[in-house]
Amino acid sequence: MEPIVSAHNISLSFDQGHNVLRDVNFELLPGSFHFLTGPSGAGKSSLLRMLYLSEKPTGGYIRMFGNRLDDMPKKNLPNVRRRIGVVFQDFRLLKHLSALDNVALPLRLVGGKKKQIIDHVRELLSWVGLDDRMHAFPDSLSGGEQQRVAIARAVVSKPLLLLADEPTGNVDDKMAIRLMRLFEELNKMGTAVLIATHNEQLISKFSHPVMCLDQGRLQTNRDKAA
Amino acid sequence: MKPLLSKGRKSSQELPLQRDDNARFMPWIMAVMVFLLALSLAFAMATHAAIKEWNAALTTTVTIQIPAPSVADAKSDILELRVQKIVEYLKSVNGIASVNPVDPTESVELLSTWLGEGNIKKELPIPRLIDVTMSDDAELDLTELEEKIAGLVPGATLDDHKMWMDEVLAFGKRVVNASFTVAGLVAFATFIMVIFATRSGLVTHHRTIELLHIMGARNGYIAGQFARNAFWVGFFGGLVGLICAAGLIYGLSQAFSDIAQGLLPDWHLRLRALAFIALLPLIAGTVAMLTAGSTVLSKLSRIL
Repeated sequence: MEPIVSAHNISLSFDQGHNVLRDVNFELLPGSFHFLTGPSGAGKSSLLRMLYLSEKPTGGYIRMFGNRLDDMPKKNLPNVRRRIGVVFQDFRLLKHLSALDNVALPLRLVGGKKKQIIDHVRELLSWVGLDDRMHAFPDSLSGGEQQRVAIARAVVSKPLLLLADEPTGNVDDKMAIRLMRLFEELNKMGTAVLIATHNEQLISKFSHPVMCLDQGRLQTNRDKAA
Repeated sequence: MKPLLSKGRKSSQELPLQRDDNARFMPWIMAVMVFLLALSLAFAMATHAAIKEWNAALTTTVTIQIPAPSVADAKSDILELRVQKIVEYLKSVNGIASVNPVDPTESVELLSTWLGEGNIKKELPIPRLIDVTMSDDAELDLTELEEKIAGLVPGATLDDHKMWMDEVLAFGKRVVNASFTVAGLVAFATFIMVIFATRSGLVTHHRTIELLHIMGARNGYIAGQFARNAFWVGFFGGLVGLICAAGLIYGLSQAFSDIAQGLLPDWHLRLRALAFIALLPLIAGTVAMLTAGSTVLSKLSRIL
């Protein structure tokens, strides 16, 4: 099976000579589920930023959905990004839009039909348990509710790859487990999931493979299922 | 029942451009700019048209002046006879369309503008004037004509207004050029202002723009939101500026008509100029839209 993402000796360094990532290699298969862990400053967020095309590696290259990103014309990058869902630690919801409008955003960007958008968004908000909070604005939602809206937004366009950067960082343990179950449900539908977290306790509750970053290097690839 | 998806311009935009600082000030700045632009353009176009019409009217007109007779002859009809003599001659000249002796009371009225009502005594030796209008295609030799009438009535002169018209025309052209330059500078300042306001908007909303990019928004989609917002800001601001300018232009043209009646050419906006000025809000909106859109596209094309 061809991987949907493969990183080939990727590195990232800043002008000051600080190396954030060094010779990182890995592959993500379709429908896989991985944790990405490591201490703060290990480069987890930087690696995710490269995977959701917000940052370019300064060395090596990434293949995604069969194409090398560094060879790809800029105008084609939005098409790649549309196949990726991203969940942020700080949710990054648009405060002037309701939960419904926030979730509808990725579909609006591709010019979806209003009726279809509404049906799909309602269904998703119901799936994350927010059918009674559709018209609420982010500031009136709790942290857990905001993160569920963010997850619904990340998966609304049925991405092939879901990237989550510390998605449980701002919620309590009970909510963290609930959110992880949502990611697993999504994974069962065929979406590859990569979750960056430094929460070892949470990781230990699930049997998914773990990639560990330390000082910019991918140190281990623990397969807890093995 | 609440709408399922937000409707309307304000709520449906992902970038809350109507809520930042630019949104508060830009319409007013645009209003002031369009106000200044409308005034300078109106002044330039009305002055240009007035001078053109005045010039056209005066190049086919000459005035013949017959000096008042000496005191000894003042009570005789000698002046009237001299006027008749010249009128008869002029009517026989080919290329002259009309000959109109100016009534002495009209001359007194013209003078009273300068000397004051009732200050002109009957004994004042006022020369008689004859307005002569030439055919448009006439090719009269004015020097020869002046020599002829001077031969008929010694001291009679012909004034083709050329000397002082040339000066007035040169001054008028300078005024028109200066007004168009002011209009150009205001337009340029508006253009620069829109660019800086757009750049400021890009900085203010950079996190939202990054988020939209991550979701797969194309640069054109983001530029479109800036462009649409800039259009409405330019259009509504421009409309306010135009309404204010229209009031002022109307007031000034009325005041000018009252003051300059009979002395200076009619100063008002012609239909084409009016139509152009009426379109200023639309033009301001369109220019702002194109400027904002291209600024955003240019900036976004430099990032990943």
